[in-house]
Amino acid sequence: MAAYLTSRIASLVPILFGTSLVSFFLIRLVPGDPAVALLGLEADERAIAALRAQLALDQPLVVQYLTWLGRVLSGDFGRSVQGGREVLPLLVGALGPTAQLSFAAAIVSLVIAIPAGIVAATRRDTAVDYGASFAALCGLSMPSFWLGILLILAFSVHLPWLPASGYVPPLSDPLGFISHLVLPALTLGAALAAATMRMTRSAMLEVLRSDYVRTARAKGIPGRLVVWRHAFRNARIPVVTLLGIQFGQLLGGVVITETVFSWPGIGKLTVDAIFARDYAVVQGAVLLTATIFVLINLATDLVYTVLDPRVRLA
Amino acid sequence: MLRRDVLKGFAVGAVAGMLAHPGVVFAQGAKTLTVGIVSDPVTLDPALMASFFELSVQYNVHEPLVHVTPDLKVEPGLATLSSSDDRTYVLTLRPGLTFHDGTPVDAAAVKANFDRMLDPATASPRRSELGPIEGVEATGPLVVTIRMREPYAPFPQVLANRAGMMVSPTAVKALGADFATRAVGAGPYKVASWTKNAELVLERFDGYWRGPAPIERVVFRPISDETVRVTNLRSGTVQLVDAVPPQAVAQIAREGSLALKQAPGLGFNAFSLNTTRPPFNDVRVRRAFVMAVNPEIVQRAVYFGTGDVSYGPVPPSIGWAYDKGLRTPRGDAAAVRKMLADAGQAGPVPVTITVTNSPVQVRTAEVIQAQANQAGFKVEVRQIDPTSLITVLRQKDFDVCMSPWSGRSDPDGNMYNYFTKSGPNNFAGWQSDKVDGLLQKARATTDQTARAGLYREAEREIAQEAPMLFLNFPAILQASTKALTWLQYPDGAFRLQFAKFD
Repeated sequence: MAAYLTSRIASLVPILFGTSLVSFFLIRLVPGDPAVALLGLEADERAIAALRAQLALDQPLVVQYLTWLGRVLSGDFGRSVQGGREVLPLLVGALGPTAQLSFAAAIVSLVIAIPAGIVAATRRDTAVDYGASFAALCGLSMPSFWLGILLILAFSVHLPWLPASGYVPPLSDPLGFISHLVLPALTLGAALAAATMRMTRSAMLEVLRSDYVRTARAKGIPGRLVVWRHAFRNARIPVVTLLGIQFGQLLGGVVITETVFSWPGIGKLTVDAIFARDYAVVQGAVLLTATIFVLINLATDLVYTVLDPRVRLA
Repeated sequence: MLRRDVLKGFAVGAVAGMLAHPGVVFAQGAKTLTVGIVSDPVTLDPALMASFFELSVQYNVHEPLVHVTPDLKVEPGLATLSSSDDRTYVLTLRPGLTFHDGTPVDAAAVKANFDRMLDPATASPRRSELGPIEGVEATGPLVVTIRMREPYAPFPQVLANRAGMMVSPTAVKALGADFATRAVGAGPYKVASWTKNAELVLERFDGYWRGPAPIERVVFRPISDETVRVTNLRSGTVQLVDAVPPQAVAQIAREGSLALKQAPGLGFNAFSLNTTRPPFNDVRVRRAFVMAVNPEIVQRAVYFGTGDVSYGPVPPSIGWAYDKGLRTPRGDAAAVRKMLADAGQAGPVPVTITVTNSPVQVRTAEVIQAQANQAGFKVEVRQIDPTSLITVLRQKDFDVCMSPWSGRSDPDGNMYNYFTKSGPNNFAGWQSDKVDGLLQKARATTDQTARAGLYREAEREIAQEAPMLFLNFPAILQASTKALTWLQYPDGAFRLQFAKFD
């Protein structure tokens, strides 16, 4: 197990090296550079040239890459061109709100999706199943900016219960934090729930058809117990796989939901950085996201061993 | 992207109309004002700011040397400005003032600010705005004398703007790269905290020269989507919003709990025609293209009747220089076809219009496309991101490209950079000795009537030669809850020292 963990974590090194290389050169292929983006249309050529020299953008690309890599290896991710913030605190500061939102959305999604998926599977081809599938289709097709605005209209304009936007750190004001979290978590959770519900349903259908479930029923075990104890336990693996992928994507940032609710997450930060050609931030964000993805995949694999004792990691 | 935005706007408007407004607010008491702005500022350092939307925040943290009233009169601010001759300006500072950190606002501090902006290593866009400065000297503890190489008439207005905003030299030194996020100025509010993309919190500065502002705390919250911004105002989550979308104006004006304010702006929405390559290196084709597009239709279809139709760069908000009679015939498709035939253009003339994906710009491009296609052009619309746009304009890699301008309170600021031969915003690549000469002369002339005459002559020549297609002077559209009293300025920037809750 220890060897397995070590090798998985060691695999991060080539992955991060590769992503750093790709992200470094890819962002530089896009027209415009940080000096142009920062000084904007109103600047003259002299100011742009001066800033370029200040940012060492006039150096050869290979030199720029090696300088950056060397600094990153010593823990210095540089500063954002836009506003001069240090990149690492900026990214970590944005990862917190995104993680909180992702976690809340995942809970919303599970609370809706697992019972709905199970019920849809056990009552296959009934009105309940069709209803659940239809709801899932709606959830998948609703764009999150639209659902977000609708929720704001409903719960902060029409019924003035919740704030329409903003973020409060959980430690400074827990109630305020939750009140700001509800609408974005619902918006995001609804879209996630749809996919998870469909996955739960199909996994459950497969298991419900299996011999041991028939045996369990034949032995006279009550239906509810068969479904939860026998069938659902074995349907969890594909659901967990999906959750892992979803969670990884969420932590990479949920740009639209973050934008609609002014949630200071890493998605909006990264997209803004791309538009502003804020190289240091883009490269840092890509590295961070890649690391998170690898770690979540690893965590997913570890969860398998808990859910199914037959799974051995080696 | 655009269509979705537009549809979204309509859909939400319709839904919102059906819901009754409960009028309950989430304000943290009347001591805090939360403002919905378009985007998080990039920097709080006025020497480096480049984006129009940052201006709203800047005027609350930083105080310019002189103040400009909503009708563009220059008044004393931190200092009184006088001039002994047309090349010498004297700034006399108010005694006893300090920056937020306690550093005195004295002649040495003001000189340090000018030196910093003029130093090429700072890469400050202010450097060119400050004009032909020869030297800045502290000629007394509170007196600064600025000498010009040649007369520069826009200077007082420039000092009322970005370049006049004074920052604490002590803080610049102490904070280094962090100054951009923790700026220390002499404005009515000081920076308390700033969480990127979430909120910028300002607290009242008791040492402000006009006395402490009525509102204790101001929170700026970036809400980039225009529909969501307005919805936040309706819910009371924010109490003041910048940049209300034109299509929402009529509806907000009907809502009892909200107040919409509109004022003629200083900037323009215009498109550069690339005069350095075919087809627009031929003035006849340029004239034909400009004639094909009727700005009145743009005003109706894009701006929903707000703002003013534009035929040149000087807006009606600069009353002394605005030329009401500047008009060229527009929208006559048959005449345009004939002009194109006379210019030797057989068949539809292919033209690409480049815009960013902002809703207003895409809509504008589509309206131009529809009109020009009827008149013998074959127009394609190309959408790119804002940073690529800058590159496209600078490299002149376009036929027709949006070149909107935020505007300045002096006509020089709306023309010099666009129409002088080496102007940084001369994207059209248009080289006119006549207009260049007129603009240089206007800059160096102090008599306002004479200057107005020079700008009018330049505007008429520009209209004749058609290096740019002018469409609209967008109005400043902002809205608040009824309970808030505040002043609106034609540059669109909030000065919240004048705001209070009733």
